[in-house]
Amino acid sequence: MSKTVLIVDDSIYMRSLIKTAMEGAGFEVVGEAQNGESAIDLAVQLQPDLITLDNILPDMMGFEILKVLKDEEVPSKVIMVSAVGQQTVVNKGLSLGASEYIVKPFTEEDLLKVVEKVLA
Amino acid sequence: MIKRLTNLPIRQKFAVIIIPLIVIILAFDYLQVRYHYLDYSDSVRLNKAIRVGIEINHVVHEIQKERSISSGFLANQGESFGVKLNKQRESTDSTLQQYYNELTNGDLEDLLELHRTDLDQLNAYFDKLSTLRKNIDEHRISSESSIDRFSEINNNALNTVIKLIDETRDKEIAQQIHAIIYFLKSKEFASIERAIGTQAFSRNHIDFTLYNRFTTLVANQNSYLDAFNIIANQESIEYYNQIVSGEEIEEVDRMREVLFANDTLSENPDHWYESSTIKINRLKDVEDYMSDNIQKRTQNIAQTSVRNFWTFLILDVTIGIIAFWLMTTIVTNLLKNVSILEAYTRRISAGDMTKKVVIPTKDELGQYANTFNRMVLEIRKSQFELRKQRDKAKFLYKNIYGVSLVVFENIEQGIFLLDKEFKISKFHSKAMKEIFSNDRIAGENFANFMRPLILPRELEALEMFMRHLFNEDMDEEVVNQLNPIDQVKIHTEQNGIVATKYIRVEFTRIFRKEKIQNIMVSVSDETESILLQQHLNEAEKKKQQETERVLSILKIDPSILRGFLHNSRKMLKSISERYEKNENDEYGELLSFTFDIIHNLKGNAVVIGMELMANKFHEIEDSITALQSKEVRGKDFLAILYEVDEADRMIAEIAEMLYKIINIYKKFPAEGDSVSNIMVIDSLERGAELIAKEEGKTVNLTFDNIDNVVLPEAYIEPFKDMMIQLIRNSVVHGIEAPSVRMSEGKVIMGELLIELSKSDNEMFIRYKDDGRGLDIERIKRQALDKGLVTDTDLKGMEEFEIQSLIFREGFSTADKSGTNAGRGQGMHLVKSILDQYKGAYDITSVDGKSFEMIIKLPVLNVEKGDEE
Repeated sequence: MSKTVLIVDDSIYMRSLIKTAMEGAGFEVVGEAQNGESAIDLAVQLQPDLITLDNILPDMMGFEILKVLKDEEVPSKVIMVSAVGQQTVVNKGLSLGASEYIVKPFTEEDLLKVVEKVLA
Repeated sequence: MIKRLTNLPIRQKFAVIIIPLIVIILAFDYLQVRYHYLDYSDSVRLNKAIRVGIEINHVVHEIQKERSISSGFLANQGESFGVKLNKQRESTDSTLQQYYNELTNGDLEDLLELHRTDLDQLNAYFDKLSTLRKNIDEHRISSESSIDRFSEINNNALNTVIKLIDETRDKEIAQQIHAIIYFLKSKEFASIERAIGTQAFSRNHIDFTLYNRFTTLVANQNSYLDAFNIIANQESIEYYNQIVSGEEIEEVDRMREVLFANDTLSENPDHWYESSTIKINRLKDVEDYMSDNIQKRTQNIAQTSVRNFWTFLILDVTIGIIAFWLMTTIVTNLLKNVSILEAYTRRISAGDMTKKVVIPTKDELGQYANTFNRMVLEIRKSQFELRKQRDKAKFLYKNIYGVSLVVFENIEQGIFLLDKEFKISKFHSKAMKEIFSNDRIAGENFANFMRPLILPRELEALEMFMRHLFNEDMDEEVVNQLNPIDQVKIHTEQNGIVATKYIRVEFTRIFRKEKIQNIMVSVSDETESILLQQHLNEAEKKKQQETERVLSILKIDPSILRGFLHNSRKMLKSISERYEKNENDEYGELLSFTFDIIHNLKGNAVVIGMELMANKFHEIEDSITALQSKEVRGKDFLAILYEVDEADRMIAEIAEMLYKIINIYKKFPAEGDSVSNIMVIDSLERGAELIAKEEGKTVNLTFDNIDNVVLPEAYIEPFKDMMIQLIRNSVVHGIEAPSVRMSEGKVIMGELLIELSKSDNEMFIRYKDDGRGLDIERIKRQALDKGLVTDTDLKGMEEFEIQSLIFREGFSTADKSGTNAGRGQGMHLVKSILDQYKGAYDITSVDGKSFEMIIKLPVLNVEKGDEE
């Protein structure tokens, strides 16, 4: 059974980019969220194996979602997706429960490498 | 280390403080200057880089357009975009030209040098444009490939821009530069999106690959925009939101959604291109705005840096100069004052206190100087006091102590003080040592000192006496009467020789505060005076005895006395003869023999009234009587013999005295005056000496037998007158000058002789000199010249007669008339006297040898005298 993925990003093009890459690699994209609220709902509901989480969303920050996921005891691995690879941002995400991070823009290979690492 | 530091001179201490300070300040200044300079150079360089970057961005912007147009041109096989493409190529070339022009601008050299490789690479990419265009014109390249080729060039151009500008020390600028970089990337993706869109709408179709690429482009474009939105400053974001909005932008979004939906792509590609281009141009506006801002900012920083640099430099130098001036002034002043103080203290330690130290400042050093001056004043006062005291002491020493010492050194008396324990004072006169022949004087107990010198009885008395001396209840005068060593005989020993001395010791009380403090003792050595006194006493005694003897002799008839003396000596001699012959030691017999003789002699002495000898013989008798009562031994008899010898000696003395008396009688038979005799001799001697001196000659006058023959009173004056004339004649005429005498082998001193003799009725006076004798021829000539005789007279005269001419009145042989001769008087006087006293004369003259005259005078009275 293939691994399940939830994609959280406000940009439809980015979601499309990630979805294409993941499905191409054999993952099952079980949900897409374009804001924090739906992201939390879907994550709790679907309990996917992996979540790609954009840090900047229209309604909340990715960090806040990480906290909620932790409180709700969602077991999914989370890959933070950040526009700027600032060290403080990265460290904060990792300390809040994210497994890895990736800086936008990235190529398909970059993404899959990180995913592989997280799910290994 | 600390100790070495604290031991440094003040000058070096200052250096230790100041030098590190100066070094720190200089280092700080250097860092500041460097910081400002780096800011400045950084800003200037960044400004230039941005200028170049802007040019490159213009080119990129044009190439982006050309890429889209070329893409559309290739996609619809040249149906549209043909005209546009050529136009766009011109625009591209124009911006390229501008970029190249900028590169040749002079002030970019350092930047070009730094990024040579990057720029060369970029230019090579730009050069590829012509080949690419040719391929596009000939449709030898697909639309997708052309996009890739253009993108390749643009990608390189953007990377070059990033390299150029991504190097600054200013955080804010660095952030804004990154914002621009994100923005440029986003814009590049937007531009590629435009190209892909143009291609898709030109074909009315988008395949899977292109679709994916389109999605990725948009996603990435948005990602960079997100990053831009995070780090760009508020100004830029606001500008972006203001510019990139409105209908045209919404139109682009709409057509993008059409593409994303991928249903029917019936949109006009020109419309897409125009709309996208408007958007991209807006994006370019934002980009220019941001570049412009950064450029302004870098310029501003450069200016600020320069201003800060100069401000700092001027401020720093000013403060530095002021600080240095203050430091120098203070340190110099301090050092100067310190060195003044130092010099002053050195002078004081060398003893010069004549000057005050002057420190003009009112700081601690100034106060020290005042304190110093007060101290020195006090020291000087004390020194003055001390000097006064010292001078006084010196004066006292010189005038009192010094004198005392001199006195002690030279006085012939022994002087010292006794303390209450009878100890001799340390200071005592030098004479003490000589008087007592003892070095150990000072500190000795006087009684102990005297112990070996005086009798125990005297010592005991001395100790008691000294106690009395310190007893104030006893009168000093009374005590001094008890002085047991007022005059005492002591025996001193020096170098084994014992000397007897008579010393006088006197004691005087010394009072201090009405108490007897010491006893001053003076010791005088009176040995010499006492011995002299003794001698005098003895001499007196002896004289008395002699007088007695003389008197006893004079009482006795000389012939009887002579007989007694003769007899006595003979008898006494017989005693010693008998003693010498005494071989059997029969002293008893010898003694009685002696007694008989002495007794006999004593009787004779008594008979003639010789009491002196009678007494002496009586003494001998007593001695013999004393011996007769016991057995006589040789030793006992020796004492008698000694006394006999003494008697003999007395007789001898009396005999000698008698002889002397007889001699006196002989010399002065009548009332002859020996005194006159001597006076005559004396006056003749002096006369001869005087005349000789005047004549430049020396003579020796000898008298022969003049003691035995006494001139009668009546002859003394005539004798003297004649002799003076003869002496004068001899010295002037007879005795030759010393040189002549020397050449004739005579002694230089002329000899004159006067001899007296007499017979029963005549007195003879013989006068003789060792001169040249009488010159007969000269006498003749003289007598003729003076008219005393005639030639005829002379021819008939004997030699004696001619010689006698010298006695004639008016005769003088001397050529010139002097005091001593030549007055024609002298020899005539002799003749006159002889005539007066009925005398006669005879002359014997030996030529060159002598002149001799014998005068005979009759004896005036018949002398009485005892000639034996």
